Amino acid sequence: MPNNDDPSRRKVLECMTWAGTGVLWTFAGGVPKSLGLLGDPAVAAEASAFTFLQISDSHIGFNKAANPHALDTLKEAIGKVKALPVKPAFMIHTGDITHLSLPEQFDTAAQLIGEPGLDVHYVPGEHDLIDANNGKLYLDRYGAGKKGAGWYSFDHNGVHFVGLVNVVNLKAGGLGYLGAEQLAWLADDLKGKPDSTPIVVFAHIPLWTIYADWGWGTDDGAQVLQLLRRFGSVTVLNGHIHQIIQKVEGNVTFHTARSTAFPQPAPGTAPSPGPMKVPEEQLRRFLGLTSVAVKFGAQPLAITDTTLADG
Amino acid sequence: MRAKLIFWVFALLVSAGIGPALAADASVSISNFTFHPADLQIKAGSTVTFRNDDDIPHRVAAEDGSFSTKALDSDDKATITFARPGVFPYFCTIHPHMRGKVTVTP
Ligand SMILES: [Cu+2]
Repeated sequence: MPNNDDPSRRKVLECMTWAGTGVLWTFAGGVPKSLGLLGDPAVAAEASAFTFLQISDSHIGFNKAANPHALDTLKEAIGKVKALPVKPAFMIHTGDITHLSLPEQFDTAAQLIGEPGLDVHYVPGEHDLIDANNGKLYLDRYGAGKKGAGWYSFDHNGVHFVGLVNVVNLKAGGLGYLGAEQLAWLADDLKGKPDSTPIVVFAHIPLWTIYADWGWGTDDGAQVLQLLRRFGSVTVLNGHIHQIIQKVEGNVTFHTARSTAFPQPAPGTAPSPGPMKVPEEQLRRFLGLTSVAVKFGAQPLAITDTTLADG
Repeated sequence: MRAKLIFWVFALLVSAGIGPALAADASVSISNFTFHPADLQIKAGSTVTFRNDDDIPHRVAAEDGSFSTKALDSDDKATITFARPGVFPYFCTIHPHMRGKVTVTP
């Protein structure tokens, strides 16, 4: 376990991969850092002002070779959430809840992901908006109280959370896209917030460019980072790429979560970003959840990833 | 026999990327997040059938909004009729880095 009393860690993101299903995030001094979700509950309970979970890319309805039983692996992930010794404050879901935006897929998702009894804050992935009415089903279910295509913000224990939508009105040849209206809303949303406010931004497609050839980035993501630059602690959480990639740039920590449904190849290592078939006995090592713990004081925020193969 | 041979030579030329495919009613396969062929030539009034051979859905739409398919799950097909001549660049609205083009001649 990292020494949480070391102020030099304030701007450091640490992330450990651990067995389980998600990433557990801890905020300490507004910066995320890793904590064992299941592995070390005593530490998590003592050190964290609160924790929240990130779950992503559940793709309800996916049944292809890369994982014919994507519903079962989501159930395993949810089972791990229910078994947590320390109850997280809430969950965020960073999109691709369903595979095909079918009503029954949304129903199954809501029922299963609701089982732990936690509040769940969603943003859509591109797979959630492909019903005949371009996302009406998603907005009917999750759009209440949100702006535009479903973006919003909320506060929890002094941390400001922003859910962005970068999967609508995508331009030919482009990447993820936020659009002027959403960026104007974000500028307004952040206005007046002290620089010391810890900020967590979450969206489906990575907000920074990971691999443009596969569309893994957001055309106007840099404008979000410009708006966030003045804040002392910024954490950007994304999904979409079904694997963990992270980086720290100044005060900004970027992190992508695993899927609970199927793995995708590392950037550029396959002919396409399509579902990656791995040996059956290895599948659960590629699927998981993320947990984040928020602490107050001179400590970083902790991000922990667990795979379904852990514990 | 000869017809079959000519077909295979033609198919080889097309798959080797020698010139755009020229066809009456044509089809485009979507595999590995790529349109095959990505550059298709047809006569006005003919159709193009898009077939998704990937494990992930795609949705094809013209850049000028003149046509779009529903989301195509694996093995789904959608047929578009190109009535008038012109060049119609299209893309996948789900994965917009995927692009192709249909050129319709009179
Ligand atoms: Cu696509």
